[in-house]
Amino acid sequence: MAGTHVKTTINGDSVEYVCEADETLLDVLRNRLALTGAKEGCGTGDCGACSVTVDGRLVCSCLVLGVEAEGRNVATIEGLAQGEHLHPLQRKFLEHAALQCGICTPGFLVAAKALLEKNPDPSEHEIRFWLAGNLCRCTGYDKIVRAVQDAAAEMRGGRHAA
Amino acid sequence: MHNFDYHRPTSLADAAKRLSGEAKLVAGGMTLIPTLKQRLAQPSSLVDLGGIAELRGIKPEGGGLTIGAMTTHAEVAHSAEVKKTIPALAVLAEGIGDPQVRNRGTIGGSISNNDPAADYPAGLVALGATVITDKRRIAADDFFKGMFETALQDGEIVTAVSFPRPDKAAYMKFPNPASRYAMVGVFVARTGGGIRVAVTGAGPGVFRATEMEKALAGNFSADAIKSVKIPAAGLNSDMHGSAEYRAHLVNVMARRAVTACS
Amino acid sequence: MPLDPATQKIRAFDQVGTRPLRPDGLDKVTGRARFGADATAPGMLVGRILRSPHAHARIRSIDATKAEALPGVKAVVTSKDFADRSDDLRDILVNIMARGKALYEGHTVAAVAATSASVARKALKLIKVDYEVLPHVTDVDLAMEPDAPLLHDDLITSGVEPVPTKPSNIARKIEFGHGDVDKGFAEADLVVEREFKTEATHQGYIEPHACLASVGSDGQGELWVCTQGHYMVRDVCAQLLGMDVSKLRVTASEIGGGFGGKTTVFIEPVALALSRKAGRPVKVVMTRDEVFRASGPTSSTSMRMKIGVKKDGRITALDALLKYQGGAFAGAPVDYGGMAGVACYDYPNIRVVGYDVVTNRPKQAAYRAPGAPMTAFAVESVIAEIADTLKLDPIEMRLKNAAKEGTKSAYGPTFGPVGLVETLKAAKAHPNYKVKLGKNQGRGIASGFWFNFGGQTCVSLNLNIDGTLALAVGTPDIGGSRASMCLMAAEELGIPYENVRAIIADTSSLGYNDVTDGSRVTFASGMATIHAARDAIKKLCGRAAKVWGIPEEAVVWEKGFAKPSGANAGNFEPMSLKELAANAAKTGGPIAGHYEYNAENAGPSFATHVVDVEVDPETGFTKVLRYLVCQDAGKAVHPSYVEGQFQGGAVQGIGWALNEEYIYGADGRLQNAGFLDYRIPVASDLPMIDTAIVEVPNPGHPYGVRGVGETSIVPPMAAVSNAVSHAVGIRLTESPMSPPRILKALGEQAARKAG
Repeated sequence: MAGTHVKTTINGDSVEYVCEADETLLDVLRNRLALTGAKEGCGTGDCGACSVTVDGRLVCSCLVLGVEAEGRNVATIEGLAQGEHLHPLQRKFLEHAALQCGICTPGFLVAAKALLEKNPDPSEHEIRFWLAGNLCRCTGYDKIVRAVQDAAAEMRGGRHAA
Repeated sequence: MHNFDYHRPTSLADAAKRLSGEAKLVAGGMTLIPTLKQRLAQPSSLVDLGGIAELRGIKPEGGGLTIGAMTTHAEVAHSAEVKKTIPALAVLAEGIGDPQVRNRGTIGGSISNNDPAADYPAGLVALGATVITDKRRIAADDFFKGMFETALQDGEIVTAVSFPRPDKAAYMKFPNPASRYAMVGVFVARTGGGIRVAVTGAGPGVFRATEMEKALAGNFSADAIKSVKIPAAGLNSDMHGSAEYRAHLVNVMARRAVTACS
Repeated sequence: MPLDPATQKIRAFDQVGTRPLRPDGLDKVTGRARFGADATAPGMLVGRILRSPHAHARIRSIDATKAEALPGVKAVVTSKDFADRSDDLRDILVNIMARGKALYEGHTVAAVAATSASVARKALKLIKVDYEVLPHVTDVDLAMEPDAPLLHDDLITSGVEPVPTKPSNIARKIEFGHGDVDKGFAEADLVVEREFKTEATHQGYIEPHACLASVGSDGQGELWVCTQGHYMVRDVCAQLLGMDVSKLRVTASEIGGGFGGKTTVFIEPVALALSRKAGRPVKVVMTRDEVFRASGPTSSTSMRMKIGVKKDGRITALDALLKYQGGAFAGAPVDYGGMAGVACYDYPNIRVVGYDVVTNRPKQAAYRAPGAPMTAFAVESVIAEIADTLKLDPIEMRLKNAAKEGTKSAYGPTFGPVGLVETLKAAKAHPNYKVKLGKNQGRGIASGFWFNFGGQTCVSLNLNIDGTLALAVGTPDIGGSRASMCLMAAEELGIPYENVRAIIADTSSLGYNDVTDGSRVTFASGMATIHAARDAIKKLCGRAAKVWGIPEEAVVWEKGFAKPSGANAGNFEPMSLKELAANAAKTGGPIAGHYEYNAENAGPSFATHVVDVEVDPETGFTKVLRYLVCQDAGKAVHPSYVEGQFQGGAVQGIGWALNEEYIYGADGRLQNAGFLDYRIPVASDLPMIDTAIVEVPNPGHPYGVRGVGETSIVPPMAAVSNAVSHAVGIRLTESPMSPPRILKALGEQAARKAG
């Protein structure tokens, strides 16, 4: 079966690739486009390490087919920083030591960014509920939640606009 | 997975045409894609309903709501219309899975699959909803047949679900600690047509707790159903809980749902 | 010694103790960091593993001819491709590739390397394995029965007199203690004896095992792998493959979690064997299902704990029987677990008997303080029950019995300065301890301990021409340790933290280092870094002395500068490290410091945890309201990462206490081999995890550092159980304390009250 030609936008760039119908978007990102920031932690949509947004919506890329990206806007961790300017979430994760091994960090950053775009002033409960689809085994989530709270506060204050 | 053709039609007619032989519909993919990955299904082609605009959207209709089959759980959970008309349905949708799942899973996909632990079946049955397909209208009571089984015929596509507006409704769920599927979920609703108590997660499929409905008709309070025991026989037993545990939870969740209705 | 020689006071640090950004942080927040599965190589093949579907089976034959003939298949390996051996690597050899018998569901039976995943999958299906299914046993108590299915017909229990004549599933018996426990119990005013069971859990690292192996026709190999110990991987793989150690170069990728589960090998020797046979690079990545079934979960246990006390709470005796199953091979950590689990208290009389049992389960691997959480669950639960019965404050009771400097531990050594008392006091003084609780809410306390290890360690510190430093360490960074290494080097040399760049060197670029385990990296690699820096300082002073024409002894190093030691030495302008580095070619060549040793005197780390829970008596659901970790770090080099270790370990312990367990079916197969049904805590399950860092300096480290990574997983099971007990009056003795179990116990309690 010949592959399908897909034309899509990834992190603002126009991208084209050929993939098999049964390849997931995660497979395409990692194996065809060398965008290895999204990770495969489980392959079943339970850990969130593969999180990306498609048309602004947070999804597990291991459960999206590569062919489904046609004509959509995909955003991955690689697109979070603007050149050398880190997104406030990235800076706050570093300041708050909200990562230890770092494998879940891309997924969390993508998820947190999606949260703050919908809800710029989330409560602690809302942050925890919104991040319930991302597993972390190292941090116990405490510093992750604090980093998101701090980033949200900074983004509301309008300083250091990314 | 294995190799299959992938189609993304832009009209319902086109989709229906492609549904022959070993073709399968894909909605949000939250059940189908894991199934394909585990090679538990090997369709010859996938027909993606995501490109059919008329299948999405939430419309007020006849005092209640009509929700397009491809509307995601997140859209239902955050919809001002749903929160206004049937807030319990928004609560139900908000509790499905996690944010990544809710952005992909759809009401049409969920009910067509009829997982015994899915939440929507309880909502549809309790609210007395109507499932609309490209061929007919099916009352919720007649739609859910058994474990992973519905009244849908081969090639029939769910296009929308229509809900009447309840006077009072609430959904209480005890989630499976791992998957957050409903170990037991109880949806209680009082509509013009009467009182319904629909239970999911506990048995092979959604069922109505008719003894509870009778008791509540006389006295709509948690006390009224305090001593109504659900028999454990026929309920699900799995690694996370026995049938007896589920039977106990049905009563607890039903009482809490009734209390939340007031 | 942590005391400043000049002032004899606890040293004041300039940089150690601050919270700079970690050097590998940018890569990790941008997705640039490369983990085990992120590497590729030209001509790379996909490696996949065929695993036994049976919990116990004789392998009568394996026919791989059809698989080998499939186009796209470049190599198939079985046990025939590995030479047998009879040394202490034999168990690992058999674990990574079954020989004659499949010993657990998921045991590797064969492997293929092919040009694509789909060809590899088809090839696995074409391998014909003729199994003779045997009866199996997965429960530790059942495995010890005389008629239990036998895993190894040559396993004779060690540590038993007289030596048994028949094989069994009991690999060893251990015993330690002192005094006379019968006398101790006779003197007691109250004796409590309980039985406990804990189920197996998995470390749950989010990154599955992954490696990329490349062996050339000249026998030289490269391996990229996520591991806690790349030197261990090199040495073990080289030996299993019959290669000279020097021929294999292993590079440690960034690692997505280990917690002890990546301190051994699973897929690496197989990947190398496939690559050698195929003549091409082979990438092997475990699926999550494989991680659960075929890596190294913890032991499950069955224990009896008996403690006697005087009515003032002073312990008179402890007697424990510990049965740990470690999967299909000997090595369950019943010894470490037993010793650590009882270590918090001073016992006039103590006896601990333990059994290391084999079952048809995957070979266990370390999981943060291996073996200790289970025994501590038993000890701390009984202590709590005693405190409740005698109406003693749980912290006061522990203070009465607490191990201190001078206490002879149950496992032998006498403690130097240790911080258990300080953690108990910190817990009592913390605002969390004073929060008023409501209906169905309860507070639980538990303490814990881990030895912490030293180990073989070396580092190399090289000066660059601009005065910046390249620090090469050999212990993979699993928690942020590179930041601490840079802090220590910068502190010693008196230069900015940003001027030190730490890397994890590959096995060809630096001498041998033991694995990252035993909470040893900040302690041992840190101490090596300090000594290497001092070595470099000595050389720098020598260079300055040369420039000034004065004796070396007349030069001192102060906050980044070489200076004459006094007016008598001469009137010279101090020389900065930058100047000395720039001049290195003229004064003798490259300047470096290094240090190699077997680190000793790692100080143990004690902790006390306080948890508040609320139990829903109608569903058995337990909500954690508040959690506090008070733990002794000796000296917190980077406090944020010390807190992170406290929090991460505590949350793993909470998962173990409330939800996590390996569930086996009657067929000996794991029923919940995925994150859908094996539930690790998520953010919405938890509150903030409060921390209090206690610092009782470890005299064995120049800054007083103690490892902290492991102790934090030891107290939670008991702390949660004690809290549940105070919330709704039931005492649970099995983990996990899942909602159905709590509901059942509540029902039994109600029946007892009614009856």
